[in-house]
Amino acid sequence: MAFRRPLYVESGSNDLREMTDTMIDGVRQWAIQTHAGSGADYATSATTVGSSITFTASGGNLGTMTDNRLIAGVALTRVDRFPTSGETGDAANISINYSRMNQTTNYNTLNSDSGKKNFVYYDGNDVVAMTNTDMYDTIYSQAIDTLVTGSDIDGTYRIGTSASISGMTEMFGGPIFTDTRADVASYTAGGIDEVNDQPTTITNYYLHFVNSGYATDTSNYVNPVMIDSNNDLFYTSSTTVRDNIFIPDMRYWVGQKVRYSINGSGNNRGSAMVDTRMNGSNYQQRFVNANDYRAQEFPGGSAATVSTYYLRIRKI
Amino acid sequence: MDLRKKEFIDAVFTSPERDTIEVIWGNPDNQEMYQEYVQVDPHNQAYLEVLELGKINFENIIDATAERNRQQRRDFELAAVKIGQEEGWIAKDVQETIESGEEITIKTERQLREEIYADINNMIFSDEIPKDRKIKEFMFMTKLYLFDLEQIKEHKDNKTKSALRKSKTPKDMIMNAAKLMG
Repeated sequence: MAFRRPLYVESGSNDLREMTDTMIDGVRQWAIQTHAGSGADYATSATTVGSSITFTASGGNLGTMTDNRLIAGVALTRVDRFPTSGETGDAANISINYSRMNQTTNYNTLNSDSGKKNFVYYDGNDVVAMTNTDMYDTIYSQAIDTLVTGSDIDGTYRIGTSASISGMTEMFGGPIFTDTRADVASYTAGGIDEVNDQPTTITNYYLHFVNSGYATDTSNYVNPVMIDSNNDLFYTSSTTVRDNIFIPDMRYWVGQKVRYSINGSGNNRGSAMVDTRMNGSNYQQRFVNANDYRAQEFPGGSAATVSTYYLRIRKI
Repeated sequence: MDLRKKEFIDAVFTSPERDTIEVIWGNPDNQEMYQEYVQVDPHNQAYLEVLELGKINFENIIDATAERNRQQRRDFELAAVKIGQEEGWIAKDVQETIESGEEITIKTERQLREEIYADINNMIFSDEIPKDRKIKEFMFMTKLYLFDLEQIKEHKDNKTKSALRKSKTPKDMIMNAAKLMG
């Protein structure tokens, strides 16, 4: 259980060499990129990463976000005078709950290393294969550290205020949270009694998946050396490493180690989701005729933040 | 929008607590704009990125927010004046002030009432035959009101009622009304 320095075959000399730090970082970058990208046995990368977020109409396990807004009070009509603000219904709050994000983890099981599955290293006496734990300590742990920095890294999810962000896939085909407010311009004294609820959308928030290749740099990747069934050393293509090692292993480790939350611990992913609401009311009167005096309380004041929600990522 | 090519445009606080900023990014390639809300936290990478790419600091965001608030207040005033004009409770000449770019001052209810009372006093005790359309309208409306009162409507002094109806000056009108109501 330790960091190991994988071996590679040096071009030209064909000598076995220990990888440099830069090369090992290239291997980690390839692990991150392949985890996010399409492999041989699945169709939609966004839902097959180790920790994925899927859509559910309600009851998503990432919790509930609430959009609050004010609506007008009930209008009142009198025949003798204008109803006072004490008599008319108060402008009131309504709330709409969004719990559309469902996190799924532990997508994969970890294949046994069987003493030969993984990359090899030189232990001072022999060339031996890394254990699964060695692989984690050498490649996956650091790769996961990169995933949870809060930056837009391949295979992570983030919140955006636009449905279209280049290099990312918008999930669900619609917002996962919408901030609305009373449209104060729609309420007029001349329109009393006005419809109570006249909202306007302030911001739609969308969940995006950061596509494979968005932020990773694999230019320093070299193929690691492995051991075949005859105990011979070999190295194979990067795509075989991807399909046989990185995709199943990264799915497993990311599923084990990466968690998303709303306002939990960790680093923010993309835009915060801000719930705003008007913070006052506006009493208005309407004289229709000598037998029809109307009054109503409209939403008023200025916009104020009620709650702020963050999609966060952390390593556990 | 390609966030890898984003360029900073503006950042303002979204709450008095100054714990969240609204950031506007732009893409110079296609003039696309993108809005984002970022937590103010010196450990938050997104916040640090805003400061770095925007070449700004916390104080700059305070200044930008103050400017945004001033602009919003002016926008609100303009919208209120527009609605007021549409609904007939703000004079059209305010439009000239708006168009000239001068500062708009909104009178308080007390100021408006003081002006109205002064206006009524000037009209009600005038002993001159009015030439001003506003005073003529005032007399007309007041006569309608007076003749709607039971005390005057049912009064048997037809001579004074006729005098009230024919009053040429506000002062005559008030004196005839007082005679009937006395």
